[in-house]
Amino acid sequence: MNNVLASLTQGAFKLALQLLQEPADAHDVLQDAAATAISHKNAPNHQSNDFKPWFFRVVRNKAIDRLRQKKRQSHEELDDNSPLNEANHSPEVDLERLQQQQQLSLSLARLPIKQREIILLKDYHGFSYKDIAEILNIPKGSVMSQLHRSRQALKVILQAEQERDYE
Amino acid sequence: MSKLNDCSHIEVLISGYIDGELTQQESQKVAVHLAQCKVCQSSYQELKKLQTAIGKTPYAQMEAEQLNAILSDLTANRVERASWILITIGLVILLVFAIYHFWFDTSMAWYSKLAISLLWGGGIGLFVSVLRQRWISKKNDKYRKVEL
Repeated sequence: MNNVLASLTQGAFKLALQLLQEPADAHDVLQDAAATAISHKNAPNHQSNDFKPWFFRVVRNKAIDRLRQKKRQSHEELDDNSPLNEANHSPEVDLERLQQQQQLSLSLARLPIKQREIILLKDYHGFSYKDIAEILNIPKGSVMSQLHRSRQALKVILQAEQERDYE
Repeated sequence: MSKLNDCSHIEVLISGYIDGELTQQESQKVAVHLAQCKVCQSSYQELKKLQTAIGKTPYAQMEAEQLNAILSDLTANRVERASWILITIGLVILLVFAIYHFWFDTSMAWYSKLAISLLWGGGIGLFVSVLRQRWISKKNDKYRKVEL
């Protein structure tokens, strides 16, 4: 069991970091999630294919809980309804400049958390739509449309960042 | 169907096409449309490059020491839990033996036994009720993780 967790922990840590932005918080979430993984009654067998998405779901839920706690403390809004959610067709993004990974990381960090997590679960962690539906607890049929809207929103942010840089 | 409608219908499918999550029929429909429509073709190329770039985004790794600390914490947790189980089993066996010897001890009058049993029973009852209260408040206290 420890071996299985060791192999998943790096990826799960990155997911926590992508959601929380703070390595110390991500570390705490991982510690908590690992303790849950060994003691939870309904945990899938750690040898089965279901274990990885289940473990990522635990990590994701604990990260969201932690964000809510911090929000309660700092009275900041966890904004899921920014105007960028309305993004649709966007003008062309300067793809050459996409190589600037830092800019991409910053744009991802500026996305509302629901859009950021679905993009990263697919494009960074490489989960299938079925696994993403399981991790985010949403219907499998809505993964594609949510993912598409989120990618379009990311394009809008990237484009805005690039326009600001040109000025 | 007009070209505009066709594009808006295909647009969402482009993400599924990139991710390899479409049925064969849908996939074919997207491929045919992309071959004919420059706007959707460029949207497809953009999304594909964006996906590749996201895959390469650098994120910090967890340090090996921290990872080992988490895993050894887990082992420590397991040992702690097993130890508590052993202690509980030992105490239960001792308690059963003590009760058995106490009740079958003929040197003591029945009313002394009754009084001592009531005192012990009450004491244990109080202890369990406090323990239960503590347990419930620990589980439901939503502020317990808030740092002061």
